[in-house]
Amino acid sequence: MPPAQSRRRPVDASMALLREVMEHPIDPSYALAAARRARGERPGRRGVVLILVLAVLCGLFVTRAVIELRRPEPGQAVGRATLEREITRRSALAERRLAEIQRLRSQIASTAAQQLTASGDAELVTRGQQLGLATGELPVTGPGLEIVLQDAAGLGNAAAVDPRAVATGSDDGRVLDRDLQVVVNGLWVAGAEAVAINGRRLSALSAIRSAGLAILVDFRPLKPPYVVQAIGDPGAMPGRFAADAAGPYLQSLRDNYGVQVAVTSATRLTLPGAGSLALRTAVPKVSSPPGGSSSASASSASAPSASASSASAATSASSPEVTP
Amino acid sequence: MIAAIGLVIGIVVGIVLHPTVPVYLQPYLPIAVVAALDAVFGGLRAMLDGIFDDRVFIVSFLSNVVVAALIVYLGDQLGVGSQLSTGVVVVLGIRIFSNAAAIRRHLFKA
Repeated sequence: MPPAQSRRRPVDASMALLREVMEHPIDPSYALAAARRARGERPGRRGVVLILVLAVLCGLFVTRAVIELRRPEPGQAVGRATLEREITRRSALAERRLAEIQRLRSQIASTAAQQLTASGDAELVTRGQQLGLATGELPVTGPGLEIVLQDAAGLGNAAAVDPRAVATGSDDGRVLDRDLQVVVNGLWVAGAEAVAINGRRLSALSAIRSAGLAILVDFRPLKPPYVVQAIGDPGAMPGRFAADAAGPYLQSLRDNYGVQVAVTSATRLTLPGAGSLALRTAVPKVSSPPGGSSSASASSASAPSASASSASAATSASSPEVTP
Repeated sequence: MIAAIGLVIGIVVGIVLHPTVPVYLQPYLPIAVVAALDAVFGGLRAMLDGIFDDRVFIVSFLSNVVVAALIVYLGDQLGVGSQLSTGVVVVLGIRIFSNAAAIRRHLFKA
């Protein structure tokens, strides 16, 4: 008759497996083998050789496995290299296409200007060019201001070179999209006629935003340093910019966060055209032109010019919204 | 002792030579290494306990590796490969820790 104790279920019965693992981590065969040895049983000569061979094989296998596992997967490296090559190739292709677009665009502009000149409306040509400059469609050259913003020096070079690299430590000294927005708006307020960031011309429809740590202008990421170039009156613009909200803002960025800011006047800046200003609205010219023809003939005359270029469409719209 | 010497010889040979592991064995390597580690720790503890035995060591080593690989294979076939691998790693990890603790007690009396 067993004692009542053993009939009761042990408290930790459900953890028998865990207890087994925790309390008997060593192979029980070791104890059995030790007991056998104590009784005087010795393994034969063949057994010793077999054990040696097996042990060598085990060591070989494990070493090989560890070396194999520590090596980065070759497939990954190949895939990465392929992707990198593809990115480079596609980027080059995009650059070529962009150049092609710019060439065609200038061709269109010159053709449109020729057409307008041939039609005898010289005023319309100059008007179109002026609007093209103001809206950022055409490249411009002139004196102006150059502002260079750079992340604080302590932020580490990797982050400065690659905006997507994960930043370590404080982010305070990083140039943000907001900073560029303030600077650009300050430049517009100070009377800038054309603004570009890192060679990317801003139009009235441009957006300065951020994605992760990268700042995007028109959805294209920028690489630091951020160079903001503005063309405007060389006499008045620097003073007005410094006196306006953006000047003190830059000063506080420099003083409080260590952002590196350099503002320099330039006698000659060349900003590229933003191009691709799609024709969104076109209103037929209803008011009679200075020539004094009837309204019917005027509207029919303005129809081809509206389709010829966006600048002439803006002319017929005759609204001041195109100023940025 | 023979087994330990053999293991060391095997490791040295493995480092010097570069035999390749067949591709179809690749998925089982991580678990096999952990299982081998468990056998090594068990053997080390047995040695310190004074009950080490070559035959037992080799048999436990081989059976550990084979069973671990078998479990991973089974898991892969059933679609629960990663879960089963985790389970094996947990159990073997606990054993390695317990054995390491026993070895520590032997060596440092603490």
